[in-house]
Amino acid sequence: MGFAIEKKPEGARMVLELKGNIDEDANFAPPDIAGAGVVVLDLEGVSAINSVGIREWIKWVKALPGSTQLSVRKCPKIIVDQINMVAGFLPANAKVESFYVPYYSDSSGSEKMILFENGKEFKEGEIHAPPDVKDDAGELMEMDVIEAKYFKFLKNG
Amino acid sequence: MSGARKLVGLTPKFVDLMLGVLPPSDPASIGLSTGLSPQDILRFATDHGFNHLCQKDGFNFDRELKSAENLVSNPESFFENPMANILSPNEVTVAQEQSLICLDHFFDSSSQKRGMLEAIGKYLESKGLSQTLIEDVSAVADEFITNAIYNAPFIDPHTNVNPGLNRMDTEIKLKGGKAGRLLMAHDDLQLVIACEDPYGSLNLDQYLAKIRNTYLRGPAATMNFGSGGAGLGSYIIFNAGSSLYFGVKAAKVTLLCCTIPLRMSYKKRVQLPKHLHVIHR
Repeated sequence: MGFAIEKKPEGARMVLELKGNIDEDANFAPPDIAGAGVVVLDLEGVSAINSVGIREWIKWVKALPGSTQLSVRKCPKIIVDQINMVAGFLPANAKVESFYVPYYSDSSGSEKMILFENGKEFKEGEIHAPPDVKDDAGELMEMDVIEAKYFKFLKNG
Repeated sequence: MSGARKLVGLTPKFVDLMLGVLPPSDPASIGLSTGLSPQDILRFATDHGFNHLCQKDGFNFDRELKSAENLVSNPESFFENPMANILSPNEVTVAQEQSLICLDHFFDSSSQKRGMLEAIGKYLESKGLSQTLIEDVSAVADEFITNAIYNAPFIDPHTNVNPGLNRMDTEIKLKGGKAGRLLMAHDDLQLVIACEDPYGSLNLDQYLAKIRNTYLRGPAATMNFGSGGAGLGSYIIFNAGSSLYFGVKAAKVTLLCCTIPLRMSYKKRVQLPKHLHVIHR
């Protein structure tokens, strides 16, 4: 899937929706965010990121104006993995507004991605996971991450 | 092609790594252990010369051990029937190899990568596999193909220096009618994603040391911010696999395989102790 960045002003915030694969073909041109104090990267549409993509992402994020308050939202697992794995993937002052957590059912083998939002499912570094996540057959699903690793970035933030 | 030679078969010897005292490095040794971290598995390979390391609490230990025995006694067989060697080591035949393969793409251009990755995604989705598994398999395939196109053809065979081809260049084509090959196979338990290139230019000692270094120092500290690759691909591959098979016939072929268990939660999968097999150096 080709890569694209779409600008969508949202009140005083500039939302940049990233879509597609972040790899060597991704065009990471500096975005025109003149005048926007808060920039939100909506990452729901990111389908993959490879090793070159990780590097290009870091360069791109570092090139954003220093005065920009950066937030990310709807981070898929592939992005959360990079935040945890690669120091500097997000600038130190960046905020994570929401991210996805995989749930898995051993009985059906099915998987669901549950959105965790700041102030609801996580707050000040603490996780408040939804009590019951069920698959289509009504069976309870288990949070399918190693919590100490997956939520590490919340402790660092 | 001058470096290609028949690989020598040996009689397997089993070494219990938990006993503490290690015999001198021997290419016939199969190291057996329990609960070793990825760093430790790589340490036994790089510092103690083990070509095969099987963990008793890793995924499908008996099959891994049989596969290791086969590859010590007949390493050539890995390059002929890799999928059968990995998934059915008790029946390594051409027919079995063919029956296991579900995806087989030859490629000679960087422009083919996206199509191959989409084919992998579609196939795995059709099997009802989880998104996290599809993402892992796709990530490994991406790094495999990238290595075969952007690294393998350009590594100096004498110095092992990789000039670091700019990834943002336009289409890269393999020259001289050469082609890489992306393979995927599976049974009910496990999936294998594999990539072969016709250069045999990968230095496995350096490759393993680089992955180990990334585990030790962290991806950010080892990342290349200059031209060429980011230097994280080998780490991404190793991290995703429950068993890794790295084979090189110098100046002829590099064949890298990564196995991933099926029908298992991500949490269980990533905590499995890894097996490692190195075929020739």
